[in-house]
Amino acid sequence: MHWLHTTGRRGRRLAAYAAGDLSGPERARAESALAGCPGCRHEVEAYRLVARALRATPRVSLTAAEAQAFWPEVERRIAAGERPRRLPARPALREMLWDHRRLGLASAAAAAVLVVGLTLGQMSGWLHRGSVPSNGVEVVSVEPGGDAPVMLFQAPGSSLKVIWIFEERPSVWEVIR
Amino acid sequence: MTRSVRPLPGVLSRTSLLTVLLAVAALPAVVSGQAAVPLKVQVIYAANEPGGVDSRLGTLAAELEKTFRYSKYELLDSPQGSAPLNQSWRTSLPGDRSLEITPTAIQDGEYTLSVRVQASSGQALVNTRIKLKAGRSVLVGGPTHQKGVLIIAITAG
Repeated sequence: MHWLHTTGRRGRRLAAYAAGDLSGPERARAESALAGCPGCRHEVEAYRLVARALRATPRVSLTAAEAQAFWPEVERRIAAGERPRRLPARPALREMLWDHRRLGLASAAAAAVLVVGLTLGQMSGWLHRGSVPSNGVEVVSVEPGGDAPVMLFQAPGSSLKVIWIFEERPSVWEVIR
Repeated sequence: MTRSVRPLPGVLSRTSLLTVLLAVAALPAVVSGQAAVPLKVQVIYAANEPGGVDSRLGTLAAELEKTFRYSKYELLDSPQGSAPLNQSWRTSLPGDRSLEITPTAIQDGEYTLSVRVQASSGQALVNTRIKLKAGRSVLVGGPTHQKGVLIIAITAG
């Protein structure tokens, strides 16, 4: 078993490596470990792919009716305890990228991104581009703790940026189809 | 060649000396980054239950209603404080949680803050780094409380 698997926070290290956030010995160590782990290399590629895709993804526009229906629908599903299928609490980002339907919740908000151990530095262009004003607030990075997913969003028509923690609730993945 | 030096008038030299002393006295605080950042937090309980919007929320109420669809927004607490650069300011949140804010930079009227929300177990629910212009707010929400959730508005400056 190599370093990436023994240190914990494997996903975060891979994400940091993909984002170019590792430097010096840590980067060299990661490269050495990656050389012996095809799965890790594949995951790094996925992180890079996600970052590129997020930068390139146009914002989703919502009608007023869609925006109004967004939160009630999320809450209805949480309240109903809908469990369409068990999914890992923290899926690999490649799952998010390659199965776009699971991004239903995120894409429903004008500027939302689900954060799963990934720094936002590489995504800032996506997050602050387009019609949503920066309003003097910039979220530089978000690191979820434990297994609680975190979502960053800004609702249409609002100037507030929101960091939303899904704490001890049915997993967000269970309410996203 | 001989150069004559004309002494400054006594009043001027005393004023100059005082100015220099004051500047020197203030220098260490500036150099060591001890400028304190004023911090304001509003802890809001949001739920779908009767209660309406707490008038103490002021202009934030309208923004909350644009962002969420809860029927009740109640201001539970509004702790305020300040923290020098790279020193943490901490306040407690309902449910034995805590909020820790550490200003890490001030530049061009913009504050960089490291924000950490901790659960009762001590585990961090989220670590985030944000840049806020003076008077602007960012929301951290989602921790469960009673029949709804907590929404924490953080304002710097």
